[in-house]
Amino acid sequence: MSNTTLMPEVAADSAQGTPSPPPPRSRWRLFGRHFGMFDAVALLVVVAMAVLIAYPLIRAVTRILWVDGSFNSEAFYRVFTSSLFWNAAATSGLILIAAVPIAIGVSALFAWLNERTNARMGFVSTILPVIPLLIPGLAMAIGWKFLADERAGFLNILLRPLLGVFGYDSEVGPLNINSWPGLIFVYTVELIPFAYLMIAVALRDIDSSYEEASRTSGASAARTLRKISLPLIKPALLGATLLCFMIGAAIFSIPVILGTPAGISTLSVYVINATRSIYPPQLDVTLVGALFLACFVGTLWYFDRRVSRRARFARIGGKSSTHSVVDLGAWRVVARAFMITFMVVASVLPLLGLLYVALQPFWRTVFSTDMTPDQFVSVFQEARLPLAMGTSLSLALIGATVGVVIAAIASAFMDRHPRFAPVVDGILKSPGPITNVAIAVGFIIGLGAAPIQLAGTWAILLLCYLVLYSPQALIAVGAAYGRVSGELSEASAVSGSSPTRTFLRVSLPLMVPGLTAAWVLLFAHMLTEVTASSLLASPNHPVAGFIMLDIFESGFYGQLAAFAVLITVINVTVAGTILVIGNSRGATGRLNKRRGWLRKLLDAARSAREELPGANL
Amino acid sequence: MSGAMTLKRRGASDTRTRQAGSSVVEVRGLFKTFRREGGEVVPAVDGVDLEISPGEMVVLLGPSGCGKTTLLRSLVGLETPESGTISANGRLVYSSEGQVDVPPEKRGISMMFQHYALWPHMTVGKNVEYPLINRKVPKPERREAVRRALASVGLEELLGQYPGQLSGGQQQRIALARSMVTDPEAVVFDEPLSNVDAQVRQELRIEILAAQQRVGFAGIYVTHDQNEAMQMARRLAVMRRGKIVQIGTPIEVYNRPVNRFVATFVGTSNILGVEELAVESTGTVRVRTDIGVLVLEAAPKDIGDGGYKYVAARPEALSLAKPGEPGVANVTVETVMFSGSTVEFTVLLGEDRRLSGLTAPAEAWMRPGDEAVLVVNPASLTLLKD
Repeated sequence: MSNTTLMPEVAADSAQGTPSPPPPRSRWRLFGRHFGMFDAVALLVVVAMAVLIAYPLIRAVTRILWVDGSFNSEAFYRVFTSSLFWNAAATSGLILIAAVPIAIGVSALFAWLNERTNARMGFVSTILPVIPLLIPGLAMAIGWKFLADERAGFLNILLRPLLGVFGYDSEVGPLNINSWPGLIFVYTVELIPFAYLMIAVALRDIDSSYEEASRTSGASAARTLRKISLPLIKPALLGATLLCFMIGAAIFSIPVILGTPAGISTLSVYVINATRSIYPPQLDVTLVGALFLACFVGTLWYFDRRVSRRARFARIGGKSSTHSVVDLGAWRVVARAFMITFMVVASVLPLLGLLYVALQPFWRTVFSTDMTPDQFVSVFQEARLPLAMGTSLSLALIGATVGVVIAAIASAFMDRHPRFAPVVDGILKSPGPITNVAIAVGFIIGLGAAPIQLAGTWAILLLCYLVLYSPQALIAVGAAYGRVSGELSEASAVSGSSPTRTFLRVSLPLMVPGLTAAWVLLFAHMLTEVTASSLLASPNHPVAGFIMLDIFESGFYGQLAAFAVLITVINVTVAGTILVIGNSRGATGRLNKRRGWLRKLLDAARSAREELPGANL
Repeated sequence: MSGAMTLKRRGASDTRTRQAGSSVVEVRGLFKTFRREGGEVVPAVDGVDLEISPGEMVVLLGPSGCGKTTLLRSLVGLETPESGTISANGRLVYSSEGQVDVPPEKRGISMMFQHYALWPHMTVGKNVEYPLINRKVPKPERREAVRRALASVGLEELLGQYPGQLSGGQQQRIALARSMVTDPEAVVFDEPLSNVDAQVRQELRIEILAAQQRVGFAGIYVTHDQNEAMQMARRLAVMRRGKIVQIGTPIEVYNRPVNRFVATFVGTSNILGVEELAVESTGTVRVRTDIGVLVLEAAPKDIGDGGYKYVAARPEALSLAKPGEPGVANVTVETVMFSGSTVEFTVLLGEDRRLSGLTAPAEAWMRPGDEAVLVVNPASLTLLKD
């Protein structure tokens, strides 16, 4: 570059002996933009991810559905004429049709109470959305099994004598979690945090002067809610409904634990068990079922994208910092009691159930206070249990790190090349609508068998986890990146830094708190992953999710409880430690200490949840 | 016009006649605190008393964070104060002691918002109709009232449009129509013009004042724009740190500021430090300031008590003459800014004593660096204690 193109001042400077900025290192250009080392690496990473997402599925499809050069309609015929399949599909549908509206209603109520009334409680809006992260679906399902089993459920043992006063006299009940109402209840509890997050965010985002204008126009709080607030968040309500259907359709852990004993099988359980628990494995049934599920979720996802795109355009008006508060009067106590009850039901109770059974010599039908650590000891006496724990821990540690690095590189690349952003974004987020079930099925058929034969290895689990959580990683990291890109990195570039240097010295330090939150999100998901693990792990290479299902099916409930408690403790300890460290080390952490780590986690979880079917359920 | 609407209107104007002279809105000892990040408790509204008469426009002016918006929102019922009383339309709507806190929809005070707050899911017509539905006005009269309200802001043809399709100025006009549609007794304005461009802002100021002439409401208008404040106000209340530091007609506040804060916040003032002060037998006051000796023609009544430490000099009190002509001090022209019919400039006295806001006709001779003599007109000087 010659001096003639420089600004006059710069030219004058170099004339006085100051060296002019070095010319850009790269000579390559891509659509008019410089294309350097960093971009090459980033492109390689993205292409590798694309291959990893598409190849197993394509291979699985060609292997199973394209036999000897002709289309294998036999598999489709078998599945679509099977009454088991349609039963499972109808079961999934019925559970969701019952659970989703309740979840949306309760979430909308909670969101309104917390965002607009004097019943608001800060910890509800902070903790509620991250409950699924702290207590994964599998632990929740097992916890509820212990709480509300028809015979030995902890709550039943407590309730029976109480109801005995009113003449209740039975060895079983009154609660039974292994039933339709039980399943619908746990699904609802599991879905509420996701729906709550979307609705609360929408409610927070609408300018509260819309509601104030209604109040000063003479409308009561109830009328304002009905005529102004709810219509304004209609897109979010619709989006939350679609999201709940998407998440709900792919939930595996809850129905496999709670539905199986009652003979209730959902589509996800049907699809996975066709390979997992039938010998010889019916890979073709699993694949066709998974594709059917992916089509269903993918369709919903498409509509969800359309709805939320419109919702984004509808967002008008500046944010008013002072939201006026609706005084609920005497109802305030009722509202708060309701919310606290829910928090207890969703988080404390299942954990208590796990802990209670873990500390008993065996799971029994009478209440007992003699506690023993025997079950915890037994976990360490059986070699495969610590092995599974160690494998899951190493997978989660490495998987979360690699996942975050990939997402960070992709974010930086998208920032530098906006033209490619939609493509890269689309690739890395595609596992969301494809569903965890279909991805796992693709991996077991496509990569597990010959010639690649990765089945049962550590590597196939890591690769599959990376694909499964690449959408969450990209969204969480993208949120962190969005806050620091723009002028700050441009300032670095005009100061003469290469893209790599800008990334390492400016973007990365500023992103540390956001990245740690993203890391924790991935770590928690990978540590307790069930769906893919149940297909991809093997008795020789067990992981936590696989082993928990295995113990459950063998009926060693005390040991299962102890194992689940240990995994939850590892999850919370590692996640908490990393968040605290990340927050004190990061540049923005130093600048803004008052923003707690929990808030960071919430931010990451929120941004990930806003767009996605959760894959770890 | 017939039926309930007429009855309501007649009822309303009856009240107005009966209460002529008394206030529509009355605030006594209003107090509210807020908590800063870190736990420090700061008063947002600190013992405010205020009365607003029918047809009057009181403007609350102050820097951001002075409590003017909190005061306004407390009046309407969007925020709950901690103590004091508020009456609206002759009825107690808030009293900390009497445990009265009437919700906003029952206070009958209309409001115009900074960001328009037109509901995006309703048409313009529905937006304006909404307050009438809430007051259970029958449909035919609602239609008529909406048409009239829209006609008064000249936007009848936008009835079926959605707010998202309109410009900022149109949206704010609709918002004005909406706040007027019920013929309210009192209307509060929360910086309603800070989001529209300069030309529309001037038009809307006129429209708001015209609407007030027509409807006769008592208005409370919050702004941080001092020009707007002086234009809109019948009475101007200058607020600082939760308190009303001065209230009076714009002319009073401009000409007789009570302290340095008001002198510099309302209009521009150069504050001169008093070094020595002497009342002469003729009644004039001879003041030695940090820029030279000034003679004020009239002394405040309590001049004998002492304590006057500053002189506020409005820009119109200061002018420049060519070197050698009589004046207070020699100065150097520092900056010159052309602004149409006049130039505005700053001068330096010695090394670093700057006087600003001086104006002169555009064809004036000054250039940066020119030497000049400062001339002071004693009529536009005010002695201040703090």
